[in-house]
Amino acid sequence: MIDSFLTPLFLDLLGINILLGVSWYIPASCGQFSFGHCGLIGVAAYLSGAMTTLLGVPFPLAILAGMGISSLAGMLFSAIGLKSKDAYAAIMTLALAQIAVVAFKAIPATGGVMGFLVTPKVTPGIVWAGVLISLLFTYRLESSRLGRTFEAIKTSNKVSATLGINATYFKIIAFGIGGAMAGLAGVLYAHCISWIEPHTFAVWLTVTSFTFVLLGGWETMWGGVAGAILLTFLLEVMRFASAWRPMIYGVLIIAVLAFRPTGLVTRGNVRSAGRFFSRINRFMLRNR
Amino acid sequence: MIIQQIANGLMLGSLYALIALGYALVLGILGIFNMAHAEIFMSGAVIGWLIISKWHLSLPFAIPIVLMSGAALGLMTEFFCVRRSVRAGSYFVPVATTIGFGLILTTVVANWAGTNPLPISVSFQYTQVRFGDASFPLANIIVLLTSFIVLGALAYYLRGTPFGLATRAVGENPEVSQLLGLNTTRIVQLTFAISSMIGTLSGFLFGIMAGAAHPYMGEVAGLKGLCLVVIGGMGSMTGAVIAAFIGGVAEVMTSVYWEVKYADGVLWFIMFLILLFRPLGLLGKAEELQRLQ
Repeated sequence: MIDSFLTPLFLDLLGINILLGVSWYIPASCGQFSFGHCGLIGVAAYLSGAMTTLLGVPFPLAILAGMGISSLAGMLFSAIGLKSKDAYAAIMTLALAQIAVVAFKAIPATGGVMGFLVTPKVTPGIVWAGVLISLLFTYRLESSRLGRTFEAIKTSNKVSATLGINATYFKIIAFGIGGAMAGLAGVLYAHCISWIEPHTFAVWLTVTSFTFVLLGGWETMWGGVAGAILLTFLLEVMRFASAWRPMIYGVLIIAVLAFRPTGLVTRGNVRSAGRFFSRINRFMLRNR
Repeated sequence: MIIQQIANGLMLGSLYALIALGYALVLGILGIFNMAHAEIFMSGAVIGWLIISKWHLSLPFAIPIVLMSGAALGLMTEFFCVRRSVRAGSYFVPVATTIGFGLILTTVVANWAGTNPLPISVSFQYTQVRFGDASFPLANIIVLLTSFIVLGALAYYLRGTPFGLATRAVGENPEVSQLLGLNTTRIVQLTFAISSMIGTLSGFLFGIMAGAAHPYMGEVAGLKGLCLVVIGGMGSMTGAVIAAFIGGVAEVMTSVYWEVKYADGVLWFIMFLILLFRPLGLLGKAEELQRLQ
């Protein structure tokens, strides 16, 4: 039983799912939601896949290019949407996703509808290094000045505006950071699965990433991490029901928002976990 | 030739107008996006397949069943996804729950009917009507006429009946209309039922026009309605209809004079341009945008 969980592919996908959850959480931490995360992921996956496979660019350079293009696309589309209203920014990212899928289908160099083979395969080590760096970054971000500004915008648009915070500017920054992380997830995904096709980056991918955050909790970054781990294991156990997977997600979304709108891991949980660890730490120090 | 293409575009546009109105109704009354509308649209086509191709009933039977199932789906969406979550005060919560409901619908249909295209064949499938040297499929003309009937009926409902007045009042200010003795929950239910009836009807008409239904058709065709509402301007039904006709013509022109494979992206690209130069949409008003949660 445990052997089937420890395959390299499963470990890779677990790491990528954690990245997806955290990358969706960053705009959400600023009160801004993204419907088109699949587009950000897909653009990065296609760019890095095409760079390494067709042009022979070294892999680290392709990672940076993928993160860069996703970040820029996220900032551009959200900036246009934010000219009118924050809900429009979410719809603009959906537009990005739809245009991206049409473009992927139309480009002959990357195999059109069929998709293409992406060559250098990543090892779980690279994936988890990316995951840990992103988690560390997000952890530092949450307690930084920028993270607290995001928190203020999420708590109240009006109050933060009276404090002189330009919500539009910070939401675009949040999309830039979240986009870069989604791009990292996309690059790693492309080089882990080795075969990407336009259909992979349909709206379903967005739904997966926000289900992680909704289930896990959207008050702190640990919610996205917990949701990703929980759902990845749950779906691996329930592999026999793979045709009903979208329905499981749908029922989970509705049930969680109806009965526990904060998600499973709340800020209070994170705080008490922190207290628990500090108590252990103190105990260990005393008995040294 | 070009006249014929424009006419084809207007016929597609009339169908898009129906899809967009389904979004616009709920958006105008509650200020939320009903993302399940795309899947309700899909259900309309699948129910049409069920009635016509599987049960071999004729069109006059199909239409009431399609409308009734639409009303039922709308009431279910309202009950499971909207009634509690609209109080959360964030536009995202109802969006997430309605996406969840849409996923449930898609999965049920895909597992029950399979993921292959489900053929819908009607007797007038290949009948062509000639006007001068242009000829159109009879199905498209029926779709065009039905859309105009529905648009007229909806305009009459909203402007000329007491229910429509109550609906517009709830859209304007829910608290005050509740104080004046309106049962806002009933009005919201009614709005959802009507919007989903239009949704399933448009799906059914799309199924007849395309000759097939598919469990995943909602994601591409159904979401275009959302895009058209944004192009037309939030809260403006006239704007949504105008945007739908422009979009239909643009899409047909792209697939004829450029490449068919770009047609699905054209509407989203138009939305990109419109929001770039006119953030409120074609006919949107700033105060309508403020009501959006």
